[in-house]
Amino acid sequence: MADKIEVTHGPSAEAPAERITTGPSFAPRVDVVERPESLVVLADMPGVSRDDVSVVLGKGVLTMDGEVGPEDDGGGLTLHTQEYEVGHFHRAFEVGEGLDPSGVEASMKDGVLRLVIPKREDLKPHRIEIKGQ
Amino acid sequence: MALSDRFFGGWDWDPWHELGRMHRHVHRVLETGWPSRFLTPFPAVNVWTGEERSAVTAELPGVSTEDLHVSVERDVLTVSGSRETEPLGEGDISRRHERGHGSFTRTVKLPYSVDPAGVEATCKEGVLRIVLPRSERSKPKRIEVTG
Repeated sequence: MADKIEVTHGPSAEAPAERITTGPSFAPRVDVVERPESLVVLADMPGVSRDDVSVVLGKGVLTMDGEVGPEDDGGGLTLHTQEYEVGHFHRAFEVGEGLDPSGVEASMKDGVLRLVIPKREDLKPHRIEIKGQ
Repeated sequence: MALSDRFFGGWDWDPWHELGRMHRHVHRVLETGWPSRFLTPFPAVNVWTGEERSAVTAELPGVSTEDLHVSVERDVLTVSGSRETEPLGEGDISRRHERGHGSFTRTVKLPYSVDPAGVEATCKEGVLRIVLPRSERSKPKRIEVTG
């Protein structure tokens, strides 16, 4: 089951500028799928639990952050080969005009953050009834 | 695979492994992901070793435990499985595709044979963790030297 995540709405979201911070920081890889009614964003954040992820929306910018603590060394084992590091995941997107970011829904499952951003009501496709004579 | 070569002692520096590691790191830090998934093996693994046991962790976001297979034979650990992508229905369009999908296999050569009965694997928040105890037969035996 995917865990739902509270999306914070506020005017204080940062601009989608490059970010510098203490400790290692990584950009999660994302997939974006456009659905007729919404945009689905999937972000890989391995090791991030639902309590350590935050989604903030403000000034048209959607910011996602995830935190991973240091890995367990298994009780004094020596790190022999390291192909990945752990730290902070951060990525921000400017939400396009065709979307209604106030209705965004966020959930987390198996280390993947999933956002569903609905399209603006007036831009959703709608079927036009053709009336007979 | 480059990874297993690193377990043989001495001058085991492997430029291809190093290049892959740097490549992965650069793409994780920069906000682009597309080429790295073709050049670096999936999943990325970290390996810890000790006298009595080893541990291997692997980043497997979006892979459920049902789609994951872990096996061990003597000193070789194999992790395989598949990762599903977001299904595209009628009218759906992929706008960005940085995450890889499909089936994967990785083998890790450990510094000694392990006891398969004692291997424990857990997967939590998209990170697989396998603890592999050293087999009794592979432990060094002290030989008494008699005068």
